[in-house]
Amino acid sequence: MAVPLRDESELEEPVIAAICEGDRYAFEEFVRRQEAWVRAVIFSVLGRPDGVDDVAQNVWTSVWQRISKLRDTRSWRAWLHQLARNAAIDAGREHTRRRFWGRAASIAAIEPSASSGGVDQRLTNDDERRDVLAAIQGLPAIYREPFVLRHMNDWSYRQISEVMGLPVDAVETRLVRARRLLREVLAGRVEQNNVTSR
Amino acid sequence: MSRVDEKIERLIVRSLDGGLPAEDEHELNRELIRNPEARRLFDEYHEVDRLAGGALQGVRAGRSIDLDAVFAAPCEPSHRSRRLSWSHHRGWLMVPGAIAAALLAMVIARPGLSPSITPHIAVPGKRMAPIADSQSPWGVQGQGVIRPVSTAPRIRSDTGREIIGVVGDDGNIYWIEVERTRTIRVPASRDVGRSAADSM
Repeated sequence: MAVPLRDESELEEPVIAAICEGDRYAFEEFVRRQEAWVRAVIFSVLGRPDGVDDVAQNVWTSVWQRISKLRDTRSWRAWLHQLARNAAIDAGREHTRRRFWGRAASIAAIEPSASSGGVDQRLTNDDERRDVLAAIQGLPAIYREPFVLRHMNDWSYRQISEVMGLPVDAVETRLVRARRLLREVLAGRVEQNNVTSR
Repeated sequence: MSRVDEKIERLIVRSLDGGLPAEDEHELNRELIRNPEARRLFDEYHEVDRLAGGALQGVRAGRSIDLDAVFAAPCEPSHRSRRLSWSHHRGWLMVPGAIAAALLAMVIARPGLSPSITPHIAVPGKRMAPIADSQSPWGVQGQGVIRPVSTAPRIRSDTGREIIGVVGDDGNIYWIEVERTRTIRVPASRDVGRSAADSM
């Protein structure tokens, strides 16, 4: 059972206060606990895995620089969410601009999977992962964000609705539609895997 | 999707996400037993989730944050102190604005400095200097003599005639002519123009 975000937010408030005072240890702990969902937000907006590391580094740098400006420490999650979203949007624009001028590097290769199968199996897994990421990338942004938050963080609908500022029903609808679209895009692979596993 | 309705699709998704209440779970189980299409959809969504979860693991476990680089970045000043300093500057900026507004108000209020609103006072029996008003559509109208005009309201009588037709007992129509006289008080403002015209 996931901890409701509101309770978790309250637990982090003294940590935020300590960070505002310049406590580096508190900041390290805060990063460790919140890093995963911030990465999920960045990826969901950016749609590409290759830029997430750099954007995350920028986001945490901004957090360290600006957290003393946070007037209401209770709203730290919404503030961090907005910071991550804006950084990802900016990075996306920069990427588009560079691609326009023909200087963009090709999409970075996705790290090989940790499976211990043979070379053929690993190549198949890499292809599969690339296809799935491309399918997720192709989702409309409004469906991609809740879907990624759900699958990267294992968040409940309520947790997603709190951070995105949406009703729970809207989150559910978006998750249904995201799966419907992914099922259509990945139809061949899904059916093949289902047949193999039977 | 023709054979699995949207409600069942939602229940499948909720079930996969782990947020399905017990009564909905019973309903879903009944549907999965009864409908092979629903079972197929369940399996396919389950596979979509498995693939997505696996693909996103690589994104989740990315490069760790370089905290030394983070701490090396200069901290920005806190919001409160900056806001105070800005309001301080804003207060100083308002002083010249207030002085300018006061000067403008004085210029407008002083009669001699504002030609458009300065009244030309007429004295009975005296010639009035021509008003060279560039904004007048008729230009300079020449000189005229000011005569006193009564401003008291005037009483006017209007007589109207009305004819009424009545059918008599013998079948003839009888015409009755009535004269009505009404007394009207004419306001002074309407009469001034007429008096001036009469005197020319």
